[in-house]
Amino acid sequence: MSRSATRKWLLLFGGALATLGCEGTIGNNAGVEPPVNDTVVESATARVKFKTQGRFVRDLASGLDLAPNEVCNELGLYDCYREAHRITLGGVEPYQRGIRDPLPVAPVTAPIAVDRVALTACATRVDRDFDVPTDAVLFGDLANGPTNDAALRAAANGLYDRLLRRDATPEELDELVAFHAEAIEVVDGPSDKATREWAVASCFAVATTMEGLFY
Amino acid sequence: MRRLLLDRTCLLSLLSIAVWVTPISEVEARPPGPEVFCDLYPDAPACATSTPECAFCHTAPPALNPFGQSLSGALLPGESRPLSDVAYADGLPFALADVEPLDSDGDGFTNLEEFIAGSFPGDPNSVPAGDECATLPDDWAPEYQVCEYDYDFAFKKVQLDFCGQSPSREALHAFRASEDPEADLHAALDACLQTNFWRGRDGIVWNLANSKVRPVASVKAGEDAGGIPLADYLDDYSLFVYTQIDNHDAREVLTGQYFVRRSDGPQTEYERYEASYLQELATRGGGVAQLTDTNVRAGMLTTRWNLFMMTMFTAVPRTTAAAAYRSYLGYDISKMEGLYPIDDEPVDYDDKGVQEPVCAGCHSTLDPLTYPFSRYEGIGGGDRGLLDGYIPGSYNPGRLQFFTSTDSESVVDTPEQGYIFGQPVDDLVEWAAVATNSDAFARATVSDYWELLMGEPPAPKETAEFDGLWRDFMAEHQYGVDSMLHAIIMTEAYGVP
Amino acid sequence: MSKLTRRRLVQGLTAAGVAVGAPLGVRWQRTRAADGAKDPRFLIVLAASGGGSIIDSLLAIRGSESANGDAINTFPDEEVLDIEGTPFRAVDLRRPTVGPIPIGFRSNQSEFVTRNRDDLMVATWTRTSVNHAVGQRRAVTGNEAWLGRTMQEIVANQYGAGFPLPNVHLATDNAVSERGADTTLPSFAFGETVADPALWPLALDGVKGLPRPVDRALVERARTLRNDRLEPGSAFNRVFGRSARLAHWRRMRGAPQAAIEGGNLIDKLLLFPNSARFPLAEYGLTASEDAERLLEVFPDVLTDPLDAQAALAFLLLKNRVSVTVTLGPSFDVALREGATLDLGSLTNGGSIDDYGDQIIPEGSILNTPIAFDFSHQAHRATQALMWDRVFRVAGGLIDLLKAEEYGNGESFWDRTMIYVAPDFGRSKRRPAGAPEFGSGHDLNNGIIAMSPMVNGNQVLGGVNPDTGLTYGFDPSTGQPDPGRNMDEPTIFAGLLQALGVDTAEAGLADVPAMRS
Repeated sequence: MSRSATRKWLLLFGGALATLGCEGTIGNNAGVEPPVNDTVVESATARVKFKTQGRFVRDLASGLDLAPNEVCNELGLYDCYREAHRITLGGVEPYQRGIRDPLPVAPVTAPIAVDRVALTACATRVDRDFDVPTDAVLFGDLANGPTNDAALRAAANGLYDRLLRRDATPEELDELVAFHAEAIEVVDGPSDKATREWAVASCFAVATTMEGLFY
Repeated sequence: MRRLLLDRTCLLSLLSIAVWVTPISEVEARPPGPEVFCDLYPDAPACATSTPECAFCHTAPPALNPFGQSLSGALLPGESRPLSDVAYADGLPFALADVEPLDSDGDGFTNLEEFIAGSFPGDPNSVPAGDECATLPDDWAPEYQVCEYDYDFAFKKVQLDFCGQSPSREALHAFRASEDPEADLHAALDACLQTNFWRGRDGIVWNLANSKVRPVASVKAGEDAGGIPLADYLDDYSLFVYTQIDNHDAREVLTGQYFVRRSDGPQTEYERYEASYLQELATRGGGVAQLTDTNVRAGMLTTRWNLFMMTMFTAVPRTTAAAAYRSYLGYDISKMEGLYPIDDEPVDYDDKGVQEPVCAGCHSTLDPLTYPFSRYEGIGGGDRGLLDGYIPGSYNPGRLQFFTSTDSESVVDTPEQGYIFGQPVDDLVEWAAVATNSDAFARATVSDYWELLMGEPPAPKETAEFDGLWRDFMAEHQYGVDSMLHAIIMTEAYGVP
Repeated sequence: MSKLTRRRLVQGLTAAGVAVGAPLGVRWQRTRAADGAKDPRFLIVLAASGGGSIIDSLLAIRGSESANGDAINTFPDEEVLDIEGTPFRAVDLRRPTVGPIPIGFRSNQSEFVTRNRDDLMVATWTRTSVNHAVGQRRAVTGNEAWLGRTMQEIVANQYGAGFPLPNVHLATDNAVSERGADTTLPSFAFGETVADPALWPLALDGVKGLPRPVDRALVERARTLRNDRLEPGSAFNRVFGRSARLAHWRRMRGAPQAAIEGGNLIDKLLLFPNSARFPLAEYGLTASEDAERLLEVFPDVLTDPLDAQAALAFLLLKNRVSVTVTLGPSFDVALREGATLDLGSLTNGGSIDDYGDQIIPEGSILNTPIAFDFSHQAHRATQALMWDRVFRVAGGLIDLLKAEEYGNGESFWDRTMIYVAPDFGRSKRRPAGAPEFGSGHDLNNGIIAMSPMVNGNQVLGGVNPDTGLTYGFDPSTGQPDPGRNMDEPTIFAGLLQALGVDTAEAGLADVPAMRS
């Protein structure tokens, strides 16, 4: 296998990236975003780390405007990070279990635990926003108004803004908007419930991208 | 018969591993693989300031990685193993030449390419960088600036590494608009270094001490006491964190003769205080008081917790010394690291059989390393009880007399004087001073933070950056961890995506 | 800031005359799972943490048998029991203290040995390190005998391909649970760390038991959206996508996750019945059907971490989740609920107060501090207490596995081996005639394997009663050989071969004497 065949150093983004999203975006940060480009060079070291020692849960909490202890409690009793999934999610417990450093390699159950924590936190945020739209953090427009393309697009970009701290690309927005049809299909017809569940599932999908878990 | 009985008894064995030992100047390399490699490839990044590390050939020594396996196969095939050092050194250049054109780890690059580029030839995830950066337009400005130091990327990492959380969009935008991003990056680090995520109880610095303190909840005294409350390891954590923050002198982790009081709150505070052991007893009570007196203290080595849990009931506490050597100086004697054999050692004062050939190789270093610890009480031990008038966890020059019936008559002859790095020391206080002024201490301290922040040890091409850091830590930074961290975040290893 | 090193490195590469298209040499071959996955054998590694000494259990020596009975670790004759019909011995003790710990205890080895004698095998060996972590690691790698793979990884690689979590590590503070050195093994072979057997099963399903239910089908679609459509095009993925950590994460999200969730493991592995402490029903969860039975076999499961490990270990095997599990006593002291000690009672010793009353009830100590290594302070009592603990847990597992049908009339036990893995041995000497004494670490020792697949009711090798040192055996015939010491790779090979693993690839000796 030749080097050129094994390594694609230059990866071209589609030209559409140049129009990096503004429609329906949250915030007014235009003008200080990095300049748009159409070339991506692969990192030579590809050195990333999981958000260990509670970083993932802290980011999730702040992104969803939840207190850390509101993110997730297993069986209503055990804080998901501090008690139930601490080691699985890259924490330590030196005092009773002798785990003094984060596990060197993420366990197989880690992505499941991540999904579980994110689903719970997202559901909490969504239900609060839909139940009391006046205090909504992410989904106020959807809860208050019609479920149209613009509203879905705004909510989708809000997820990227709050969870990944960047704007969504047009492709990402298109994907999330299109995903609403899947929610309708699963929930069995267009309804407020379908939109609510779309919000939970979309929040979950964005929060658990590897971009949200590693840095 | 006595000799027969001693045959297999020892506390540490001589390991029969043929490895490239640590890239450490104080260590005598056996066999001299790294030196041979650097003679042949003096410009290789791995040889920039020292010699290649174990991971060049090994996964976990003595197990070989794919490159090590290639090299082993090419090295004097047909010769019986183990090879002598001389044969090894003679054959290695030819073996290296044979494996140069191979791609041992299957990552698409030959071993020679990886030697020169400074990537690991035995790790498929470590590859030479490409040359795409040479062909990019000058106005190229991607989201990740992989061709140069990326301040935005570093800013996000600093926030996550030290503050425990990604920056908000607003903070990111403010940073991107900065006219002096380097200054703002350092300011962000300074702010994070004050957070509880970094310096508080169970924070990042605190957790760096886990493997050094080795806490055990059931034996904890004080708040949240366990079933056998013996000592409070929170004192140890507080002392450790104090020496690592606010640019305090990190050497005091082993030389400090004071204690540290912690106050939890929105910003955890650590306050140094002086107290004799009598004052400790009077103010904190016998259940948790530190029991060594001021002039014989040696930082983390003489805390009540360390002495109780490491020395326990032992006369000549080799475990205590070996743990200190491993935790603070980076040398694991069981892996034959940091060996400085002393002539006529080990004497085996406590009759443990350490003179046997299979044991003496390591114990000729370990035993004299241990002697200065022998005057510090653990929990007890020997033929006495607490009512016999000794104070657990204290300095007691005469303690070995109580071990003659349990260990040997000659145990009282164990000297307090010992050796570290081949240098004689009179007592543990001097031991700690020599230890903390060594390259090994600086290297081990910086290594803790490097691995914390990079997630892995330095790659061969990062050797120069790493060595520069620990050398500056000793001189320019005057053992201030905060200053060293400001330097780490400016390295290519940290800031280039 | 210059556009730095990477360009200069490449220039250096060119200057060195390296041909970009240089012929490629040996390829790094990813090891494939062996073919035996359809006929699994099961391995339980039970660590004798801290240094379980074989001459304090099945090879105990009577004082009258030794020319140096007072000087080495021998027992009063009456304390060493012969087990009828076996070459084994057993030591049943009762002591008022565990050295300086003023808690009395009773230990019993004879009952376990009598009950399981046909499946017990002792093989002697001499180790290469008396460092705890190194000894533990080498107990499962045979001193890196097979590319640094652990026994658990080898068994998982051989038999675990179809299992959701082939290799589970429940002993968290022990190097027997460390990852091996051969990174070419398939990822499923590496161990999954379980820190808390009670709550860990909740991480076996992303959806089930959540406080606010979400439709599983929608979650599956969201996962597909994430994995296949959102992530691949992101700048983050394009820049860092070849990271080994990201690749590992992607891999885990695939078949392993599907197998775990698809098997409804969350309901099969929850140890504890519904209760206020574990309100499973409220969250739509159910405990394992074996939960009540496990409480009977391991009654301290709520308070003793080793019992909890053993209970989950059984469920992992029985439910065909794993082919190997690793457990062992921790280095933390464990007392029965309500028992406490303080420094005064520790340093003064004695379990009777000034009024002649028992300070702490006999049997209140479950685990000594630093496990078997508390032998440094009190060898005889520590070994007795800890061997009792190891045998009790092993016996419970054997009984449970015998009662569980594997298929075709075979029980799970017919296909299982429990390997009692000590860090190393203990020093053999003691002060003249001392009934209690401290011991050091020693290379010389032996292992215990329990299984219908081993050469049962056998001691391979023997012990010299005058020195306390064990000696080896002929690997083919099993004949004792007083002039021989068994090394780590040989015992490692023998155990693997008994498990049906072909060790030829590693060039290890054939040891038929160790298999049935």
